Amino acid sequence: MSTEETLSADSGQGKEPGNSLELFLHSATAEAPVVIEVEGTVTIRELLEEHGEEGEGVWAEDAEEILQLEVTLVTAGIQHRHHLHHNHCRRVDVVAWDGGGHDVEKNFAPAQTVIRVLDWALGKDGFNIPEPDWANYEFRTCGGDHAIPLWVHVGSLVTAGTCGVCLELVKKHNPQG
Amino acid sequence: MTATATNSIAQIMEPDERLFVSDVAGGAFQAGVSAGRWSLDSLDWPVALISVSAPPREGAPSKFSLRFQLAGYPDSGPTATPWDRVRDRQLETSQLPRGGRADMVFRRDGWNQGVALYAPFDRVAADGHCDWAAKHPHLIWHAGRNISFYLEQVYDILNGADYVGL
Repeated sequence: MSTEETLSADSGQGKEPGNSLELFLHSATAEAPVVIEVEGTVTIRELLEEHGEEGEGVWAEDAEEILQLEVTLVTAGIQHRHHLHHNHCRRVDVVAWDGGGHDVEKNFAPAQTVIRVLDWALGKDGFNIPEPDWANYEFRTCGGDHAIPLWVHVGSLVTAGTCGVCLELVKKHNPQG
Repeated sequence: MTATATNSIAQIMEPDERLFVSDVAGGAFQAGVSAGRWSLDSLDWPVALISVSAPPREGAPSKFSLRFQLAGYPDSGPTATPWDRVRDRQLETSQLPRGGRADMVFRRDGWNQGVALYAPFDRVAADGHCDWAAKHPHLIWHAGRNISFYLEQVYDILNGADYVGL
């Protein structure tokens, strides 16, 4: 089996508007996106009919504004291998907890990546951690069993049936001995 | 490759290889490929060569190759050896990444002859540390993880502020 051919990524160079696009589609159901292939001419409404649910909104990655339902992917500026997010929640209420009894709160658009939420939590509106130390911190979901990758969308972390998530700010470490 | 052809190949694979290939084709792994975090360089089951990118440091490579042993995946966790792709052999100690957590994970002191990463997400290291599962559950492998979990940890170490190069 030529797995190098089968499994290597397509760089996406040379994709023209109107051709099929491979997209990463994030949702509230999992941290990782699914890979879908759609025509660039489909509208956001058609995308939701095929891959989402009625009443959900769609956002481009890290965008605050919801995409209009009648706009096509190409018109919305969506390109090959871009990331989209669909979610019932229009905003996600984040409670960041430092593990020591202090917490801060803010809401984000569902397609905001965790790195942006982390920057807020570490910054002056959050726990005001000195910037040289920022790289030493990561988030886990409260009670979760792993660090949340920085590329995950905050809308993918919401507690089922809510539009909120609790994130614990922790220092990275690797065990010794 | 068509879906039919892919399905035909999948049918002749053993379950561990089929699950690995499925994970590699999935969103978490492919998002990493698309973002330049890692790439699958070859797969000759149960061995996979995967490169993980690193930020620029003087005299250091832009990526490090890991030679994974994946038999029994995902029930049996992955273990990886830092690999010299040019010479097709284990990476020399002097070429291992250094600094902070990289020093702990890519050990230069001859631990286990350097065949595995010293971290809870690596099967060989975890097998020798029964207390890690309780102490560091967020870093330990279990069958609910996939290969992207292991790669995320390595990528984070190589791209941490404490990584200094070679």
